Parts: sequence; structure tokens; C-alpha cells
Amino acid sequence: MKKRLLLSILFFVFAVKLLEAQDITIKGTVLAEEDNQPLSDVTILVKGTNIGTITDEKGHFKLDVPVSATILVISYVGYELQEIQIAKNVKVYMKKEAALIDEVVVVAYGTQKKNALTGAVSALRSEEFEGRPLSNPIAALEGNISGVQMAGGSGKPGTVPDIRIRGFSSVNASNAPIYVVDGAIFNRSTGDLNVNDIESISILKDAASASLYGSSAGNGVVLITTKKAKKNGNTLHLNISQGFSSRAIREYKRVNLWEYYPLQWEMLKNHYYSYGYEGGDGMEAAEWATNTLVSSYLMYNPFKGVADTEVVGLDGKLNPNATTLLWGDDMDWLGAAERLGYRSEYNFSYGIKNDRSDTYVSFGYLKDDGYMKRATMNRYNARVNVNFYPVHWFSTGINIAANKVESNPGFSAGVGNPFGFSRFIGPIYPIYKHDPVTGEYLLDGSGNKQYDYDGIRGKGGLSRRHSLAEMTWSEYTNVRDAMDARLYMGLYLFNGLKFTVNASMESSNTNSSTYNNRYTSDSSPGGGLTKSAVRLYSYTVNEILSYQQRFGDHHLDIMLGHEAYALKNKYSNVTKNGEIMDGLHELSNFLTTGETNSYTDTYRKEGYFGRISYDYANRYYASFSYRHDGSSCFSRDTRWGNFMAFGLSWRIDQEPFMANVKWVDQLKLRASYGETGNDSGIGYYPYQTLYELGKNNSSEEGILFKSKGNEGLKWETQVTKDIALEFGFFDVVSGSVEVFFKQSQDLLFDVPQMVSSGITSVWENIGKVNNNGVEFDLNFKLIQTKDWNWSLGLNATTVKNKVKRFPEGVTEIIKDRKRIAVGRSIYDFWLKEYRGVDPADGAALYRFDREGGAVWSDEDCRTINGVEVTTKQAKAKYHYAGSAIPDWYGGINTSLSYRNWELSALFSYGIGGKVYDYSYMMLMSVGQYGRAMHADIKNRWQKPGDITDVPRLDGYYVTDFNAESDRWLVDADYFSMKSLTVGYALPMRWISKIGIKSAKMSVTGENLFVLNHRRGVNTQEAYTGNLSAGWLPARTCTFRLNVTF
Amino acid sequence: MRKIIYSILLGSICISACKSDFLDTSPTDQIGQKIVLNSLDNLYKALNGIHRVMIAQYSKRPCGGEPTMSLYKDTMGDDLVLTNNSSSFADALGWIEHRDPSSGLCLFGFEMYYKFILNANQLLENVDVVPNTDPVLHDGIKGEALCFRAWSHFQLVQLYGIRYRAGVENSQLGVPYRKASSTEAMARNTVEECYAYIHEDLDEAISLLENYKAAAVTHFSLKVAYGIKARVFLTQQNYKDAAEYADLAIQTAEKEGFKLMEGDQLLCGFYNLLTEAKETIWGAHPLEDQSIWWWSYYAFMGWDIDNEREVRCINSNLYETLSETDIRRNWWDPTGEAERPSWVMVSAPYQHRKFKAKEAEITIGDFPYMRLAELYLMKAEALARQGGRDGEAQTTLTTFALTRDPVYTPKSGTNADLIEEIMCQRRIELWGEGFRFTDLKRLNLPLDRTNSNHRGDVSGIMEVAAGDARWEFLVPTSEMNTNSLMVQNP
Repeated sequence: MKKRLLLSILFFVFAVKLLEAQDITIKGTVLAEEDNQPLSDVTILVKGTNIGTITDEKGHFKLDVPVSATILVISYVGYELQEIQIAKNVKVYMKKEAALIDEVVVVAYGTQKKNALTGAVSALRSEEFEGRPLSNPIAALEGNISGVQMAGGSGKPGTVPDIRIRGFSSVNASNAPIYVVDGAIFNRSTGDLNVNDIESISILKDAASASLYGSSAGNGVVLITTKKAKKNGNTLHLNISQGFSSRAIREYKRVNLWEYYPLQWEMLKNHYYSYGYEGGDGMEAAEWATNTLVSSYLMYNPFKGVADTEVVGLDGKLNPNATTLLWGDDMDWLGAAERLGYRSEYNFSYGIKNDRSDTYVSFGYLKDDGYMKRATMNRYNARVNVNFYPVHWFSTGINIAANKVESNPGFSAGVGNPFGFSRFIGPIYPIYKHDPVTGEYLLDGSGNKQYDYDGIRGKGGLSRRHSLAEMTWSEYTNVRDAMDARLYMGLYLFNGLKFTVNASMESSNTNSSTYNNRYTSDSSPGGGLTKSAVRLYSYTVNEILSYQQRFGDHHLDIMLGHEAYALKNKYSNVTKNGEIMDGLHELSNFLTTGETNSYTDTYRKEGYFGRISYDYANRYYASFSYRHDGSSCFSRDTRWGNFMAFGLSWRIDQEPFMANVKWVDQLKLRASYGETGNDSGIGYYPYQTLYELGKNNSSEEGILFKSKGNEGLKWETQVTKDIALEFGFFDVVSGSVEVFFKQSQDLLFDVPQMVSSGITSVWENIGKVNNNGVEFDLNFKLIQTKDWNWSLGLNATTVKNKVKRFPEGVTEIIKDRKRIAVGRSIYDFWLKEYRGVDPADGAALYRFDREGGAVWSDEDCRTINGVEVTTKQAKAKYHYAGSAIPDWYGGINTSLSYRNWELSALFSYGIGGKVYDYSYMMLMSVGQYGRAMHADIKNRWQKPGDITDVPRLDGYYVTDFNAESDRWLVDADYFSMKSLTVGYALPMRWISKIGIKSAKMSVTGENLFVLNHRRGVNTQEAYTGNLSAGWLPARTCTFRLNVTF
Repeated sequence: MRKIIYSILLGSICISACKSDFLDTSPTDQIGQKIVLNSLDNLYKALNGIHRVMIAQYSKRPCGGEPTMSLYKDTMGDDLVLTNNSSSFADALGWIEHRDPSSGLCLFGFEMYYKFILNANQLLENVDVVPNTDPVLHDGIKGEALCFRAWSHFQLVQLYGIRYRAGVENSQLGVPYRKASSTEAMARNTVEECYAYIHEDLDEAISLLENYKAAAVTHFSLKVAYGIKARVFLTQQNYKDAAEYADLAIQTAEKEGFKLMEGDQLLCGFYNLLTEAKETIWGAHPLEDQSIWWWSYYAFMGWDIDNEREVRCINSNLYETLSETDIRRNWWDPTGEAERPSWVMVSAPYQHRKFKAKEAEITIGDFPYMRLAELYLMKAEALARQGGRDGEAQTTLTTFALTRDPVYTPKSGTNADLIEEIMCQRRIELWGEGFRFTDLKRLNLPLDRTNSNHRGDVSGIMEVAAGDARWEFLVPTSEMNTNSLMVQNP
């Protein structure tokens, strides 16, 4: 790598020496067309070089240009870019820009005017999200960009949301896009980036725009560009924000303590009866339930003065004397784990620019204490972006960023996590130990309350675990230090020929420590400590030769390049057990060594690429690109893949025949075809058959077969076709309609093998998956007056996901409650078909699986309304029960401003699709003693003739009545208010006196509400539609002050 | 001039291309198969790997290798009593889990034994290919691999196939007997075929292991191969051969210095069985860094760990058959009031004190796959069941019983009494070690938990008739989904 870099630089210098610099001097004036007033600070550039200057206060400029130069590019914010022929003396009139149309967007290996694009690129500029309290830039995309779906954003400090661009192409390999920051692939968490440093985010959605990233671009590309100093002179920018957070989604509705005992009693009574003991040992079911409910099943009796055997009477009613609680104020498990979160952020940036260089420096500090106790994050960011262009034929620059993230998730994700724990623990168990008679707190020697971590609760009451004790006693910490540097050198030759070398490297070190306390955790008794360290290091080097030329109305742009990329991941961890002294979380404080492990993974990729773009008279555009890529994931014979793409676009509005159609502001038709690849998510060495180390047999060294490789494995390819119409009419409405057809071929598939082969799975290239869809973007400028401005944006996306082909011999893949088969989507639920409750006896019914060979028996099978059903879940028929993929998703944004006031709002929505509500299933159990119950359980079947959807409470039949089935699916439609901001810019006449250029105050609320079908559910948790009982999104309210000096 | 510059720039792109091996990467904690399968020494390491994963964790908790499978099998019997219906073993105890093809238990058997079989087949396919630098080692590797293949299939066929019936053609379906590593679909062999292949492999193993000195009792050896042979014959109700091979195994083992435990050795807690006594001829001896934590046998079975608030007890009726002077009385606490560590919250009458973890927090301990005691009991049972050899059977039993009860005296009685006594001894001696379910099955006996300390609401099921379809595990769903030739059990 070093050698290659050195070589490139040598050639570079050599080439420079060969250049002859012969200059002439030109002069000019720049005026605004609308009022003939001179414009200052206008940028004048010789096309294809960085030779340039800016105009002075009178609009004059003077510039030395090479003899060979022909075109000047003149640009100014808010005005249309102009290109003029070079002459000794020029006069330029700048036209006001028709808003947004001539936007420049960042594309693969460069930038392009939005007008000239032939592919599907959506961009989000910093102005569109700078007011929001985002800790991760990716979160800004939700609802703002069509075709982008988001999941996984939770209130956990430092959480990293997960996005999908235009559906799900891959079944087993990764569906995540790649992130490219300032031109180099970014491997770290996007949470390392300071949102305030970001200038723009571009999403390359189709293959024509993404295929230059060839190989890994199959799932789309997210290009992030950081800020640099833009304006001549100094700019100092300061912003401070302070805010609070709480949980955005309310807890499930559950029954309270008073309702709970009779329901549990009923469960037990029916349990006993179903078991067939009724009378067998001389007791009636009700008697048994009354006598043993507390002593054998729930174990706790919170009622003052009521004996264990008298809590619920033989009639199933709560004892009327049970009115006083022993620990009524000590059962709010969730409340005790929550707090008002506090978020504060301080950012400072300074930019300075002159004719020869620009420098941007920023510092940021973010403190995010989540709404759950102990969950914290502190992040420190620094960035320096310096660019030099000392002579007209050479430019260079470096962009260095460093950050440190300290985080503490507060608790582990397992049984002891306070979300699930507080949700599922019965509403009768106290947090602290109490005297069972008086209800007094039992205090320890120092007079403190003691957590009730070792009391034996009912079977469903999570005995021996205690979420609050675990939060207090265990400790989880993560520290990540990361740094990256992007360096470039550009050499401008003549006639638009340019050679650039980009080198970037990044490294990050993560240290984690997991301490599980000795009393109540996965490591009790004894306690355990795991220390792990991960070091990630990567570099990208590319050399790019580009050429731009204009011949009359013809414009040609050619680029050739080579790129090498390498990633190394070093991992090590040590676990020790048996804590010696309390409170010291170091390895030496633990007795025995458990697992110790270390390894290094290496991934490399190399590619050659080229692109030719051509346009004629700003009307017809064509581009063609090609990339030849090799990946270390594949064997020598199959590792190289070819990815090509082309795109065409036609700006109808520029045609002479449209010249008189004044109401059309913009009309453009574009179409593209392209191929991209995917090699991620399949591990690093899927072609190699491997044995793993560390399988020692006692003290003898041992190794073991680990995985079977596939030498023939090759790139997964996504082929995308895209047609779009972009339009703007009457200066009011603009937008686009885009249709895409995306097909993945040679799908990377981890094909499950027969269990009896001893091999779990083998990676193969099998099958095809289609993602076809439509995207709509509409923007309205509803009011545009001097004082008032109101705009509204809508976007909507629909994607149809379908498996088109499987390899021979594979007809289905069943996993994660889905069945993947030809003709179905990869997220189609495959579940037992619940048929409600038999009014006769309250049994849960499932469709009987006659086709599947289930054996009919009158004991557990019956025919109801002509449908064969069974009460035995093992005999139930599976069916397709809906898809986890929404039919439509998108967002709505609106912004209203009046003078210095601005109000903006962002909504996101999803229509259609289903999620599997695991928590609801848990809470609807008919046989878990000690577990909390959902309020819907009150609708249970109680007596013959009851028409209901909730089966009889009966502990004996818990397996059958609570089996996994489509009963637990809930519609995933949602409408969410992502963000609402009110801003006020302080009037210039106040602030200019104290040297402030601008000052703005704003208040923002994030996740203010979400509407969906069941309280407690976060339908956006995961694309798979399988919900867990973990972190929920945060509702944040922030005040922000933004000052520019 | 232009040409020069263009050539230089284009040249720089080409020259900067990476070396051809730039894209060859490999892991640092794994090694390629080609390297592994090229010498006897490496094959031996791969053999050790199989022994190690006998105590590894499998897909679903609590599947912690062969010791956990043993615990499952005893849980499904009548001698092991659980006290709490929330244990991970509750569904196995209630005979639900092994009848649910999507359950962890149904998968566990297939997943684990076929993993051993695959690895053994890979050794067998290469052991004759690599340079034969050490004929004894060569034979040892091959013999052990054959033992793995035979024993794994034997374990499988006992669980997933209908029991072997002596004297008739056993055309009922067994399991696919895999003699080659392959990902091809394969149909189930009949039970008869399975047993024929098992013997074939064991016989070849016995001839290969004759001169091989296993490095430790964690390995197969000649005596273990004899012992497995005896188990197979016993299961086939071929008592003559069973007795003969059990005897061969005993003699071979005793020649090597193995002997029955006695006195305090019996009370060692079993976690250091391999170092404290010389009775185990095949067993696991995990080191401290080889723990599988809360998946391990001792995590559930160690009496000093009350994982899941569970106490395991002996069937009270069985306990009462122990003589007053039997040392093994100390393996249980009929009062439920024995001393216990502070962190153990629960206790129950008849709770055991047989197995104790090495240290509660690391949940490891030795586990015996085959002990001399079992060989003696097999020999005694096989002799007694032949009829007419009660004398020899009693002598064998006496030799064993005296080590457990120093004042043991033979009882006089009928052949049936003798068999009953041997079986009681077997149930007591091997309690918790995984023999009861397959013993009931091979003898075609019903499950009967009634009139004991089994509680209906915990144990879930009290009786299962002999020959009921529920004696067979169901084939896991994931196998049904992938093996087009697989047939499910009724």
C-alpha cells in the first residue's frame, strides 16, 4: 500500500514538471441581471481547473489564465451557473436561480448538476435537518427521501438506525447500503459522525448512479459529504442545544393487581380440572385453586390481613377484605427504571477561506443521557478540512476527523432488560424486600432497602432475576476512539485533463467491559467479567484520470480509475469468573479464566472503473460506466465481476418547441439500466472449507470442522432498470415519478443443509429476487410572498418484493416465522392459522392440517362451520399470513415561514404490512403463573356460548392455547410525527450591532406521536417484522441556539 | 508532450494495480481443510475436536452436548424427579418436547450425533490418504473414528427408531446410516440395517484399536469399543454376546489398572471423577476455560447450583430399595434438609448429592460416558437374562456390590428376583447418567411414575404404555424440510 502510494506520488510530481505554464490576463465585471447591480464574491473559474478568483465589491475581477483555456465558469449562490467563452474583457449578467433546479449533487467520484443526472439520486442538504437533535445523520433520511425505509431507531443513546433503499434484494447476504464519506468507504458506525459537520447526504438509488461503486453498491449507496469553508473571509459558527427525552410509546395495557388474582385463580382452577384431578384426590378444582394459588403458584400475597388461602374465594372473586396492600407503592418496575433523559450538544466551527486555501475546523460535544437510568453516551468530535490550491495546476487537501464515544447501555439485552422485565413481571411483586405480615421494608444493616432479587416468584415471574438490581449492580461500558483522514492531490493539466490521487484511512478502537454481578445476572453466583477489544483499520486508495471538454454544444466527460481497498478487523476478548472483591471490575479481581479468544479478519477489494458522460446542448444526456471488481470473499477463479451501467436523459423543457410553454418550469425524462454487486453479509471467507481452532479435548490440542466452502461462489448481481419523469409547473408544483425494476441474480444464499449431513449450511448463488416499485415525490410552494412562505412536500414509495427463482431441489426456506418460496416475498409470514375460540368449551382452534398428514382424532379435532379445526397446535396447518413489508411508506414535510418565524414539521408513515407481536403473545398467556397479563385477557372465554377470540384461561393447555400462530400478527400501519420545529431568526438590526451575522433560536420536538394499531408496539423495530421487548424510541424536546459571527 | 503525459498517467494507474495475491485472505483463528487433512498429526487434532464437542453447546438451550442428552433421557424416565414445572426440562419431563418436531430436543439428537458422524467420516475418508508415518497412530485414529460413527448412529437409532426386537426382522425405520461425508439426501435405513452397520464399524474398530494406547480416557479405546459392543448387544436382547463383550471390556480395563470405586471415592461429587478414581474408562474432563456455562450438565445437575430454582430428586421408591449400609445412601438426602450453599434457595426431600460442580460459577465437572460399574452391571444383567447362569450373574453382581456396600450379602431368590435386584442396582448406580429411558425402551417396559414422589402438575405425565408411539423421538422439522427422502415417525 505504501509502495503504491509512493509510486503514484512520484509520477505525479514528474508529470507536473513537464507542464509549461503560459498565462494571459483577463478582466471582467459581473452584474445581477434583475437590477444591473454589481455582485461581489462571485466565483470565477477556468473550466476543468481550479484556476479562479472572486469578484470584488464592484463586481470586478482579474485573472491569469493559461493560453489553452477557453471557458470560464461563473457561479454564485442563488444564481444560475454560467459558462462563457474566455475573452480579454468580459461582462457577465447573472440570472436568479429558479429554486432548486440547478442544485449540484454529490455523485460517485464527483459532483453533478441535478439537471444533468441520468440516474436516480436523492439528496438531503444540511439546511433540511440542521435544526433537529439528531445523534446520527442517517436518522435525517426518514420521511424525507422516497425509496428509503428505516427501522431500528430506538431511544438508546448512540443507536444506529438501519436503512433499506428500494426494498430487499438479498435473502441471506446483507441488504444494507454502503456508506461513503468524502469519497471513501466508511466502515465505522455512522454514529461516529457529527451531524453538524455534514454538508449533504446523497442517496444513489439506481444502478446507473451507483454502479461506479460497483461491487458493493447493490443495496444502494449513501454518500455523505462533510462541510468545508465556502465563503471568503472568516465565519465562526456556534450552536448549543439542550433537551429532554422520554419514551415515545406507551406501555401495553395490562390488568392491574386487583384484576390479576381472580384471573390467575381461574387459570389454575381450569388447569386442575383439565388435568383430570377434579375429585381424584378429594378436592374440587376451585378448592384446589383457592388453596394453592398463592402458596404454590404466585408465591406472593400483597394483601394485608388476608391469609394465603383466602385471597380468592371459591367463587373466583377477590376476597372483599383484600383492600389494603402491603407494598402497593413498590411495584412500579418501569417507573423505577425510567427517568427524564437529558440531551445537550455544543458545536463550534470556524471557516476561513482565501484565494489560495480554505480551512474548516469544528469541535462538537454531545451528551445524551437516555430516558432509562444508567444509559448514557458522551461523544466528542473534531474535524479539520483544509484545501490548498497554491498554483492553478495543483490542489491538495486533507480532511481529518477524530472522535471518541463513551457509552453505557445501562443494562444487558437479555432477561434482565428493564423493558421486558417490567412488562412481563406480574403486577404483584415488589421491588424491595418487605415483611410479609406488616409490609414494612426489610432494611439491611445500614438501614437501606434491599432489592428482592432472590425471592421465589411464580413460574412466569422471572425468579432470581431483578432488572433494577441488575441495572444497579452490573456494569457495561464501551469506549470507542476513532480517527480518519482523507487526503487528495489533484493535478490540472490542460484542456480539462485532470489527475487525482485520493488516499484515505480510518481506524477505530473499541474497548468493552461487561460485568455481570454475582447476585442476579447471567453470571451468578460468582459474577463474571468480559473485556473485549476490537480494532478496525481500513484504507482506500484510488487514482483517477478525468477529462472534460466542450466542442460547441457537445460536452464530453471521461473518467478512468483504479481503486484498492483493504479492511482489517482485530478482535480479542477474555472472560473471567468468580469475583474476589466487590466493585473492582478488572480481570485480576476474578478467579478463574473462562473463554479467551482473538482473531483477525481481512477483507480486500480491488477495482478498475471508467465513465463516459456526454451531453448535447443541455438537452440530451447520456452516460456509460463500467467497473471490474475483485473481492477477497471469492476464490481466484470467480472473484472478478463486471458491472456496467448506462443512462439517458432528455430535458424536454430545453427543447426549442417548449420555449413558449411558460407554465412548464422543468420537464425531464430519464431512463437507466445498470448492474451492481453484493458480497457483504456472507462472512469473509465463504469459499474456503475451514476448521476452527480452540477445540481442545481437555489438555490435548484439537480442531474441528467449521464450515464447508463453495469454491464456485461468485458475486451477487443486482440489475436495475429505472424510468423517471421530473417536472415543475407554474412555479408551484414540482416533483417526480419514478418506476424501478430491480432484480437480484445469483443471489447469495446460505442454503440450509440436512441436519443429518452434519453441515449446517453452505453459501450458494441461487435464485432471483425482484423488487419492483414506484416512487413519487411532490413539492408544492403554496404561498410565496415577501413575508409568507409555505411549502409542502410529499413522498410515497411502494415496492413489490418477490422471489422469482430458487435452485433445483430447494422449494422453500423456513426461518424467522417466514417461508420463502418462489412467488412470495422474502418477508412473508408463515404461521399456524388461528381459527378463534370454540364457543362450546373455549379451546383455541387452529385449522387442521389434513394435507400435511396430521392424524385426526375426535379428542382434539372437530369440524366447526364446515371447517376442520384442531385444538392441538402440533396438528395445525401453516399458511401465509401476510407480509412484513409495508405496501406504501414515505413522508410528509411542510414548512411555513412568516418574516423571521419558521414552523416546520415532518411526518412519516407506512401503510400495510404486519408485525409479529411477541410481547402481546407473552402477555396473553393462559398458563403463566406470575406473568403480567394484557388487558385483552379480560375478554377470555368463560362459559359455553361465549363468543370471543381469547381462549379459556387454562394452565394445562398453555402450549396449545398460546402457540405461535397468526393470532399474534398485528397490522403495521403507522403515522408518526417525526419532528416539529419552531424557529425564530433574530432581526439583523438587533444583532449586527454586536457583530453577529445571524442568530436563530428554535424549539424542536422529535417523535411527538405515533398512531398505530396497538398500544405498546413499535412497528418500525425491524424489517423482519419480529418484535422484541427492548428499547423503544425516545420523544425528545430540544431548545437550540444557532449563532454565526 | 501530450502523449508523454497521457502515457505517464495511464501508466500510473496500471502500475498501481495490486499484486495478484492482494485478494487472497484467510482467517487467523481457522485453518483450511487442505492443511488439516494432510498429516496424521493434524487428523489426530481433528479427532480431539470431535471429543471436545461432545461437551459443546448446540442450537437451543439447554443442549450442552452428550451429558445434557443423558440428562434428557433420565428426565424422561421414572427415576429422576423434578420439583418445579418451569425448568427448561419441563417439556421433556412431560413427554411433550420429543414429540414436537420443531423443538430443541428433536433437533438436538440429529444435530449433535450427525456432527460427530460428519467429522468421523471426514477422518475416515482421509486417514488412508495421508502419509502413514505412524501405523499405530493411523490405526488409532481410524479405530476411534469408526467408534464415533458406530456409537453416534447407535444413540440415534435408539431415540428415533422403534426398539430392536430380538428374533424378528427389524424392518422398522431407523436413521440414515451415513458412511460418507455428503450433503446428498439420504433415506432412513431400517433398524436391522443400522445395527448391522454398527457392528460392522465396531468390529473393524476393535481390530484397529488392539495396539493403540489412547492418550486419556477422553478417547475411545479397545475397552470402550468392547463396552459399546456390549451395550449394542444388550439393546438387541442378545444377552450371550452382551455378557461376553462386557466381560472383555472389564478384563481389558482392569488389565490397564482400572478398578471399581469404593468408599469416599463414591462421594467425590463426580466433578473430579477422572482424577479421583480409576473407574471411568471413557469420559469428559473439561478444563476451566472449556466451560459452556449455563448450558452445561452441571449447570442443571450440580446440587450446589440451583439454576432455574430446580432440585433434582430420586424416585422415593427406588431410594427405599437401598440397603442401610449402602454408601450410596449419601448420594441423596431423603429429608430435604441437608446443608446447602447460601445461594441455593430451594430444596426438596430425596434431593440428590451425587453431582456437584467443580465451582458453582464455572459449572464444569467430569462426566462419565462409560464406567466399570456399568460394565459389571451389564455383564450381570446379560448373564441373568440368559437364564441358567444366575450363579455367574450373582458373582459379578457381588463383586460390584461389595464396593458400594461393604457388608453386601447376596440374597437368595428366583431368577426374576435376581434380575430385579440387578436392575435396581443399575438404576441407582447410573442415576442421572442417562440410561433409564433407553433401558425402559429396550426392555419394552412402560413408564410408571405413579405412587411416588412424582407430582402430577410438575411431571406432566405419569404413565406411558410400552410400545406407545411416544417412545420414538420425532425427526426435527429442519431435517424434514431439507432431506427429501426423510420420513417422519408416526
